[in-house]
Amino acid sequence: MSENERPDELALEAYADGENNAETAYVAQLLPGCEEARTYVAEIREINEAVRLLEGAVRAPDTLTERLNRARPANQPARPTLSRRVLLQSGLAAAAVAGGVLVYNASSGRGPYLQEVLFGDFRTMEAAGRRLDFASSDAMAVVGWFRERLPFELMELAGLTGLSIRGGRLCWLMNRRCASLEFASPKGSYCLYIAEAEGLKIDPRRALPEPGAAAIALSGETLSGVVWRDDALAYALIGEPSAPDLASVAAQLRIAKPGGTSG
Amino acid sequence: MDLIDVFWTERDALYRHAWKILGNPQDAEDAVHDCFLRLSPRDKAPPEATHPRAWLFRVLRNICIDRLRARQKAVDPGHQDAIAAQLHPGGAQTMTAEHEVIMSDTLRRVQDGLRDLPGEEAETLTLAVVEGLSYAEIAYATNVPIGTVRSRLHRARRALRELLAADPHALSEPGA
Repeated sequence: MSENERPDELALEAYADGENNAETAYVAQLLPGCEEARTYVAEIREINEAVRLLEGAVRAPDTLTERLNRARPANQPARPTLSRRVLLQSGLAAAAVAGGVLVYNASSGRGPYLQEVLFGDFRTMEAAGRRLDFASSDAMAVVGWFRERLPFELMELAGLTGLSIRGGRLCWLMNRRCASLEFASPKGSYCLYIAEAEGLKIDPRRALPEPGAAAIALSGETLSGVVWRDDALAYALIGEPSAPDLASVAAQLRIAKPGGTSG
Repeated sequence: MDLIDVFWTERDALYRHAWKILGNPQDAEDAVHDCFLRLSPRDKAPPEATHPRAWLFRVLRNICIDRLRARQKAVDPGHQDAIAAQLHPGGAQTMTAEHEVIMSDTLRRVQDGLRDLPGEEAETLTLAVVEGLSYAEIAYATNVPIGTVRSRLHRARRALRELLAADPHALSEPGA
C-alpha cells in the first residue's frame, strides 16, 4: 500500500469509533492490507476500552429515579429503580438503546456489518498481541467478570467446560457492548462474540438468523466464523479454525441457555 | 418514542455526564432532575428530530455550566470566564473511587491521562467512547463543528497514547 492510500489517523479513529460514512467504509476496505493501520486501530480500541471501563460503570442511583418518578407527567408510567432494573431482563433493551444501538439499523442499507466488524476486530487484536481485559483459564471466573459489566446475561457455563478459554475482553462494537471470550485450540485461536442482536445484519444481503434457527457460516481469506441468534442475543464464533470446526463448537455452546438473574 | 422515553433510556448516561462536568454525584443528580423538569409533556417529537439524544445532552450540559457559573460566582465573583476549564474537574478518579474496576497498569495510566486532559477533550472522548454518541451528535451536544470534535478526540488520544507508550510494560495483562 502506498503512502497516499494509507488512511490518516483521524479516519482510523472514526472507524474505531464506529462512525458510518464513506470515509470509514474506505478504511474498512484498506485495513486488511495495511498492518500499520490495523495496529493503530487496535491501539485506539484498547484506549477506548480502558476509558469505558473507567468511566462507564456509573448508573443513575435509585434516589434519582425516585425523584424523576415523582416529577413525571401523570400519563407517564413509573420506571423501575436501579435495584429493580438489574433484576429485569426488560432493562437490557433500554441499556442497548443507551449504547446507541439504533445507529446501525437494517434500513440504513450501509455498513459496517457484523462480518466485516468481527473479522476486523479479530485481526486488529492479532496485531495487538491478543491482549485481554481479564486473563484466566477458569471459565467461571471469566463469565463472572463479564456479568458485572454487560447489560445482558451471559449463558450458563455448561457449554464452555470442554473448551480451553484464555480470558475475555469487553468490546464496544457497532455502538453496543459486546463480550469477547477468547479460546485456544489445536487448530488456532478463536473468539466468541456476544452482543444484543437488535438491528444487526451479517452483511448487506444477510440478516441474522431467526432465534433458534440454524447458524450461518462465514468465510474470509484467513478467518472463518459461524453466527447464530438465541432470543435477544447474537453469537458469533470467529477465528482460525474452519467453519465446520467452529460450527461444532457452536453446537456445544447452544445447548447452554442464558443464565438466571445475577442481581 | 417521545423525549421523555429517550430521557429515561438515557438517564444513566446523562447522570454520568453531569457527574463528569460537575464533579460530584449530588450535584449531578440535581442537574439531571432539572433537565427532566424542562421536558414538556407536549414534546411528542424531539425539537431536533435527528439528534434527540444529543438534544438532551446539550440541555443537560447547559444546566451544568449554569451551575458551574453559579459555583464560580459564589467563590470568586470577579472571574466567571473559566468555566470551560472546569469541565471534568474530578473525572475518572472521582468516579472510580466509588466504582471498583480492574486496575491494570494500562487503566491506571489512562486514568491519570484522563485527569490531565483539558476538560473539553475529556468530555468529547467520553461522549464518543462511553456514551456512544456519533460525531454529529457530539457536535450538536457541545455546540461545535464536527471538525472540532474530531480534532479534540485526536488530541485526547494522542495524549493517552503517548502516556502508554512511555512505558511498554504498562500494557500488561490485567486480572491475570
